[in-house]
Amino acid sequence: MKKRILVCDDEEPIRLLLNEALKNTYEIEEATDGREAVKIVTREPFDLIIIDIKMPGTHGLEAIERIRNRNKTIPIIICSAYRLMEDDIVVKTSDVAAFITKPIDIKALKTKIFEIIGE
Amino acid sequence: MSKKILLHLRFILILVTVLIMTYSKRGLSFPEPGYTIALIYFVSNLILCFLPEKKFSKPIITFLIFLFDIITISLVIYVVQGLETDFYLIYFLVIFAASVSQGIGGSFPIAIVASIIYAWLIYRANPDISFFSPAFLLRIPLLFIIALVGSYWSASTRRELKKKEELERFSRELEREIGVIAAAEIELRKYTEKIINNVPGGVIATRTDGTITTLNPEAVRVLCLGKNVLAGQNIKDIKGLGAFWKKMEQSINSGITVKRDEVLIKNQKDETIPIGISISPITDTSERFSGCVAIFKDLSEIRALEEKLKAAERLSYLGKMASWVAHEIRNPLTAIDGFAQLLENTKKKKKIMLFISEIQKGTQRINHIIDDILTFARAKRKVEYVDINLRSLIESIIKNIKNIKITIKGGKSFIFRGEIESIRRLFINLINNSVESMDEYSELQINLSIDKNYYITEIIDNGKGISKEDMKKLFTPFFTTKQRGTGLGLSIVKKIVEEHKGKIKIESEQGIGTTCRVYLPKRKSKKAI
Repeated sequence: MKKRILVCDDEEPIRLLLNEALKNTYEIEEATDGREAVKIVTREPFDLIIIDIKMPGTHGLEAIERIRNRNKTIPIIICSAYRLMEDDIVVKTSDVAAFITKPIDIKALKTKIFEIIGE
Repeated sequence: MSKKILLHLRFILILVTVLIMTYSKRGLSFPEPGYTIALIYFVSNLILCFLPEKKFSKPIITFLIFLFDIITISLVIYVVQGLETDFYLIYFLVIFAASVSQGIGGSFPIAIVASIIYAWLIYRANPDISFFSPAFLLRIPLLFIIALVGSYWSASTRRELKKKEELERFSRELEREIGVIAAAEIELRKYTEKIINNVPGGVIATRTDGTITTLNPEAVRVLCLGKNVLAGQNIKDIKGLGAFWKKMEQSINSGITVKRDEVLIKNQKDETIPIGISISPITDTSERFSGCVAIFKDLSEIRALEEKLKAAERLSYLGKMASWVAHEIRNPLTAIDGFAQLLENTKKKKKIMLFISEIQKGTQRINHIIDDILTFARAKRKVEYVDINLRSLIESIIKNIKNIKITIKGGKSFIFRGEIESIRRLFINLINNSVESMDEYSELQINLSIDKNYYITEIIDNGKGISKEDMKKLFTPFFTTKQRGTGLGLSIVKKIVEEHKGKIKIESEQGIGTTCRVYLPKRKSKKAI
């Protein structure tokens, strides 16, 4: 059985890109904003979450916090156009498995995901 | 009658009595008692010298004094047997003194007493005397005539004196009052001068011909006039104040108050300085304009500060813009780059086409962002104005919008002259804002109307509305509540509206909706496109 990944990004092209890039190896579920992501995570089990930070409605970091309140172990990868240092983004390293910046190197992303959850 | 005059009169009386006694018919051989009486008379007057002044103002006291005089003189006449002599004349003196002192009311009783005593003395000396003898018929009436004439004379003199006194008092009072008024005027002038000198701004007042009537120290300081320029000089003769005087002249000629205007002048150090100026025409008592007063302030410091602020704002915008551009472009860039990576390993034609179309969407998006930046950041450039049918333009925009019911009313013939691409962008941004705030199947109302100066386009939505907090930042560049918003939409709208000399008003209530009114100035136009 394929491992399940939740992709949360408000940009449709980004969701499509991640879906196309990963769907051969993993089962991909999509969420368009933080709130939806929290809802889906509470409902279904996932092996990994890839989430953007800046999104309408619930902000990505807020969504991560809520997800962490419900699930302490699920690995989360942040995928954002922001840069950690430049844009003063503060995340708890214990909460986040990786911080990937846009544009995305798909090969590197795949490797990272493999490192975290395997195939 | 004052004490002094009374005493003097009595001394004269005593002197005359003694003199007449001395040179009476009988020579110096009159009996001894005459001297005694004269001595008593004299001593009585000396005693009176020590009587307080107040007592003399009482009529009864003076009456008693004169009564005493009459009796004394009668006694002298009796003693020296001088009935036929000139002693009789001394009665005149007493009665005269009484009439001067007390008027007719005082002199008549004295005259009566004198005539009774005198009559008795004559009768006693000569009991057979006829009643019609000159001693009775001539001398006694004369006593009364003297009383009458004396009183009349003293009364008229007194009236004159009183008048003179009153006049003097009046003139003294007048003088005093003039003094008070003059002092008050000086005080007032000093006070006004102080106010003018302490006004925190320059004050210059001139007549209609430009002659300076008032000039305060601040005016001298701001204009660097030095000590050479004084009130009385003509403002037209002062170098560099041409624009200043022109404004004043306008105000004088039109009679209109100039409020918060601005002129550039040259001060006496030849520096050009911006001056904020307010001018009021002054009217004289016959309501004609007699000059004007100008209050002004040196604005160079404020201007310098404003420039600094603008520079800081520009830098801050630049920083924000850079960060925004970076973030905004990275998203489509991610898509382009990502799909390009995927293309390498894709063989299915359908997938390839999908990825290529996604890449194209990404590039379009980046292009759109660049457009926004350029519209916002472009300097004033030459634009081509054409006649625009506002309704047709708006209709062409809204026909692409699905799911939302849009009604448009009025303005079929409104022809606005402007730059078509800017105006299109203006309405696209506003309508998009409304549409994005609304749920599907909501209603958007667009009304076109006209007033005296403007074409008014009203865009009314029943969307989410804007919070009071956000209302304040509505036109701030890079401020957005939308995730995909650039934060430039309304900044661009404002810029376009201002470029076309129009205005924009936005009203909103959260949960109810937003009404946006765009005012574009009416202009004469010939044909519509």
